[in-house]
Amino acid sequence: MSLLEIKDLKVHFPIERGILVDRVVGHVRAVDGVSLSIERGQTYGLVGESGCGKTTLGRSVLRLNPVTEGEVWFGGRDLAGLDAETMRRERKNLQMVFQDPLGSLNPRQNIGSILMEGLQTHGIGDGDDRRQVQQDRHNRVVAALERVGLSARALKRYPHEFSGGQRQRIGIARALVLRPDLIICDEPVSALDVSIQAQVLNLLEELQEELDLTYLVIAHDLAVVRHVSDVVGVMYLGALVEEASSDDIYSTPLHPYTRTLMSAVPVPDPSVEETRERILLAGDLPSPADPPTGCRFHTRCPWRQEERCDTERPELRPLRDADSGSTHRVACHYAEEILSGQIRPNEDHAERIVPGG
Amino acid sequence: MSSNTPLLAVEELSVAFGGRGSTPVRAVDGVSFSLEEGKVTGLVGESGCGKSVTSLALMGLLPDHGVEVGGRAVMQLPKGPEDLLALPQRRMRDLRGSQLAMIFQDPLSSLNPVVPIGRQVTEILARHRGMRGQVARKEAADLLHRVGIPDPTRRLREYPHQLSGGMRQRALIAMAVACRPKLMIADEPTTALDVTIQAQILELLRDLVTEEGTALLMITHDLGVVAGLCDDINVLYAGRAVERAPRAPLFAEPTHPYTVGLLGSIPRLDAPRGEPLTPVRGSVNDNIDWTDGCAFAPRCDHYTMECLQGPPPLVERGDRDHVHRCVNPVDHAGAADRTTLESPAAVGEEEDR
Repeated sequence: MSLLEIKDLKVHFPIERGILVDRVVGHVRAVDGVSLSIERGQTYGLVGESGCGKTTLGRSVLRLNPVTEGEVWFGGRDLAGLDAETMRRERKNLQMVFQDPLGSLNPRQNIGSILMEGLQTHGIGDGDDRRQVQQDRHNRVVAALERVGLSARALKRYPHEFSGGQRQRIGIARALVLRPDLIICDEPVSALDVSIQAQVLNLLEELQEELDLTYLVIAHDLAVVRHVSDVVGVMYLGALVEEASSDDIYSTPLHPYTRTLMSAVPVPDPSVEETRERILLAGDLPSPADPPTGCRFHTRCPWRQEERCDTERPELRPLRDADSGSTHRVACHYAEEILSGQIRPNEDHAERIVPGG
Repeated sequence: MSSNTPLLAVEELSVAFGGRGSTPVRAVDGVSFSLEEGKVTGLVGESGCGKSVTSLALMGLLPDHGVEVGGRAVMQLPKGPEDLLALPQRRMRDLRGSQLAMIFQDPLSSLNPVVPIGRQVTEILARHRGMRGQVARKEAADLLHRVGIPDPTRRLREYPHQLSGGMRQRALIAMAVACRPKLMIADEPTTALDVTIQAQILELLRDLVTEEGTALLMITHDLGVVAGLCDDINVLYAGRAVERAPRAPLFAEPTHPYTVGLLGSIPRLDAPRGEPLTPVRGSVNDNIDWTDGCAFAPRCDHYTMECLQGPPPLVERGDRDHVHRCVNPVDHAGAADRTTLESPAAVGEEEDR
């Protein structure tokens, strides 16, 4: 059984207007029907551009924002239906690492107190009396700090005394100290410098091997996501458009949006850059308060067809002639035809740049 | 570099902040490079390496007090070569916008939020090209159209908050190219944007350089962007250039351990899954002063005692275009050839202390 299973999750935020009494005039459909499952010990990478709902999805799993509809199954329980107190207790098994390492650490708490807080809240700590419990908690905190490459000397220091990379390590230690089953990493490295990014990514991988952790990594950088993930899910405007293993999504991207995204990522190698085909999308992301009908991507899709695309919303499905073991799923009516080259991209909708061609 | 005079030759640029009572912070410490028409030069480095301060110094946008700017930046202007760093504010104001232009990182905070886009664009046209009224509005609409903003006449009446991030960056580029400057400085122009929008903006910049023959100074931390856009690349570390090379050799045979470390830190989209990253250890806080030796030494895997004997000079490696500042460079098949190319200015600076 999967560790985490999300079924048709919807998160809609009301848009309120009014002078004295707020009236709801519409909804921002941040997440609009996402289903996915994460196996134990795996890393699931969620990628998409800003505004696609990836962060909201991650936060909704922890119920940090309200779930409108849908189910989140974790350890035999539907988190979406739990009351606040049960959910609070459940959070010791699900932890989060936030994007902004400085913003997510209280500047007036020292590191020891930040890391201790979770243990106190959840009443973790063995011992017969108060002192022994304290000692045990202290040991757990130091162990977590050492795992992320910091020492016990950090306990008495404050967040501002650390560099960005070290702060992110503290954020990871805070998640680790509770021994969670699942860690949700929301843009874990995007605020860090390149050389520090690699250190943190390597640390996350080491920890996974040592502690058998399961990650949900949310990031906008496709290269980072592909590097760390076993399974990659691509989101566009509140919905998953494609899901596949990390290698499959790179070798055979099926959804037009994935192809565009892939073609837009620069590779630090001039010889690759000179031959790389680039698909330039026209226009910007439509508003999630008023998403396009049918396929969400049809307004910008270079492969758009006259039929079905603008009327019928495609479901995430395996390819028609795929092997039964295939995990590659795509939400496009014409995925097979696009793959076989039957449908050619329309040059009016996007610019294709083939260097030297 | 080519034999004819470059459009802008920056020699030993240095910028130091503060000083009164405390030791000055040397944000930029002897950086030299040159820009040529129709070429893109890249300044690459992580936060705190001095890349943005370099651009501000060239534009004359640093505050008057508390900053010490040294070195020369000779630009070929219509009336003959002049040193940008020595020009009075008044003259710089004439040049900014008409001869040099800058594109900033954050398009929202670089546009005035309470003034419509149209007025912000026509302001430059009025200041430098003396255009007024209908003529200026027509030209502004043409500019927006040129940078790929659909329905430009409507957009001219809108305010920055009504535009999307990519559109704002395009508007900013339109303002930069309004007077066909010979030199453009782009300071992290795509960092705040999504990848698909980044691809659009990079394509636009590439077109401007090839069509107008503008010289572009591209400042970025993203080696992927550099690989696709820049002709010559300077890698900065702690205020000094540690390696300079044309694009192909820099990526194929990087010699400075920092460049090697940077390239090893980036997860590549085309690399097989599970290939480990080889990051640079430590952080920028571990640096030592350049005066004591190589600032990178504490983080370097190759360092020896030799690295701590004063600042390493910039040396040539094989061909003239590839220089690095390292005494123990990473060796590619024993091709490293150490010829001293220390400029006299840097030596003199060392003796002063």
